[in-house]
Amino acid sequence: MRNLSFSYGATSVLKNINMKPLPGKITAIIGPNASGKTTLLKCICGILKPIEGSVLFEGREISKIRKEELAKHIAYMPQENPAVAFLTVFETVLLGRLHSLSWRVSDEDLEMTLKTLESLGISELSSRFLSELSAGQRQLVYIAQAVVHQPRVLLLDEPTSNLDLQHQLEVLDLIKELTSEMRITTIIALHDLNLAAKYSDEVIVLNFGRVYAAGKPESVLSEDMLRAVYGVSAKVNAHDGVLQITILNSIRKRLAKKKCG
Amino acid sequence: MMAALSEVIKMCLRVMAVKETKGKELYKKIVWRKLVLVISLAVTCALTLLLDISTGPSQLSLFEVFSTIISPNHSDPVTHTIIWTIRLPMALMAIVVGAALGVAGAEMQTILNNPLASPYTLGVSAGAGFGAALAIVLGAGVIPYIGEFVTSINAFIFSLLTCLLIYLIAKAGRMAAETMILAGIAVTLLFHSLLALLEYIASPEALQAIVFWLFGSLTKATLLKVGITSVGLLAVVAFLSTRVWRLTALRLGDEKAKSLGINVEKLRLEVFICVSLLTAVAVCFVGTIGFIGLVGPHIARMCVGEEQRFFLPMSLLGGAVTLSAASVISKLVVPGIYFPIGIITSLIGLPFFLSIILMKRRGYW
Repeated sequence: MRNLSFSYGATSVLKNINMKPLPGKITAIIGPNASGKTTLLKCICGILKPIEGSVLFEGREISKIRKEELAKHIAYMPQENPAVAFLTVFETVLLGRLHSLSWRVSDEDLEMTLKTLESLGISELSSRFLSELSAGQRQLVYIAQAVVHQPRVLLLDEPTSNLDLQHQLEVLDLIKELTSEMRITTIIALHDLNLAAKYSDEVIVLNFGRVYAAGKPESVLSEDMLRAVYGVSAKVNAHDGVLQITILNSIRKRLAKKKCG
Repeated sequence: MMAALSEVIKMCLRVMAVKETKGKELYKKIVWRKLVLVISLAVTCALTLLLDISTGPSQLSLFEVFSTIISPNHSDPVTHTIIWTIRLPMALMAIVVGAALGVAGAEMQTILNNPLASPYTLGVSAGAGFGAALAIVLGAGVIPYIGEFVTSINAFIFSLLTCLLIYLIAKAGRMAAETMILAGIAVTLLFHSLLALLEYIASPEALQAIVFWLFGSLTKATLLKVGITSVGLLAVVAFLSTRVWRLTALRLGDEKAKSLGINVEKLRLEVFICVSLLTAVAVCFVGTIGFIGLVGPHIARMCVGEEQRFFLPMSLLGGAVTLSAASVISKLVVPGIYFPIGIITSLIGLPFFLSIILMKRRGYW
């Protein structure tokens, strides 16, 4: 059983955050720019050490787990990924299994790499160099790299930022499938609220480093929240059980206009 | 090194084995191409070495050269001396120093995340040159035998100091590609001006010794120096070969590498220390030989990419071949004279350097 509780005190980036993401579920972290989404993910995977509080993985504090050990279970995909490394797609994905690689690459590593490439539909790109791909294709490669070693916890920072509409849906469909099939605890930082509404089982809204709200999408994604956190007025409708958020305009702009007027 | 080599051979055999799953087949395709390239460069390296040994001011036939190498005791004493005390040490030194600079350049580029980094472009050679000149001016160069070693040791120490300086600048500038190159220019200029000062106060004899040292030359090579450099090279390559995948993962960016469980800072520091020692050993015996650490890895990157199991040996061979070829050219430019090899490598290397800079626009770095 995974039991990730998190709290982080005193600094201005993240303040007293508690969350308990569940295996087999997708937790979306949303919030405006600079609200601490990326920092939160980095704390969870152990790149950053919280000043206060702790992250627990299967009941153990992650700062007490060896880094190599932790990396076997937690996969993190940063928002920014290099575009110009002289590595082939196959090699890049293979690197996701770093902990089992040596001079000799085992058959299992090779098979898993291929399987992952195939499941994302990019196996025909295998021998291409990263720099020859489009931004969207590269994004898929890095997602493949994150899931290739079958992590128990999957952290994705803006996985859809470079993808076209169809790929956004396909990638998130796949992540959802993997999450429930392999009972991965998936945490995704997302900008697109409609995607968060459609795919997440739980949403956490960050604002100025605090949890503004947390819970099921339908209870969290409200017009009030959008006004308070994002400073926009919007309409939220339920369509076949999925929320649809239509952004109308920025409140800040309206205020400014009013002042001018 | 040997373990790595035997692994490469085993890999070769495995790759040739029949009946494979699809994943293996794909991998085979990628690896096979690279393996062929590494092997062909190794063969080229062996050929340039032979060519290097068989060229020189004294017109020896190929047969004389090889019979002297194979059976040293049954050969003409003059030929014996030429081959064993001049040509063989020089040719081997070219290979070993070239290889060392190639490896040093490749790993500097990896840990600084910058294809323009190399012992020469970062100013390590300039630092070594200043160290050597300091020893010469202070009188060490005049003492026979020991003096030469004191000069080398001083060059060695100053190379290390320069590396330390670069590392501190790199840390302060957060390893940004442009910062590093500009810092390299600054370091080079610093040592050039200090060097100019030394040259100004040096006696005419010392001045001549300094200038000769700065040209970079293999003519003072001995089998002992070849041995020392080889030991350094082997030790560093053995160390690096245990970290090939982690070094490759550095290319994914620090955050990703950290999330894969790599202690990025520690890895950088370890590799930087190794590479500094290697550079210092290579540079202290031969003087300023520029651009090899840039050309070797550049060839490697173009041919096999940055997966370190291939990038590392390919950079090593690339450096070795380039310097060995430059050594052959240095004997052919003016027949009968050993033209300073540093001048030749600079002339070969500069176009490479410029082409890498221009490739930035095409997303090369």
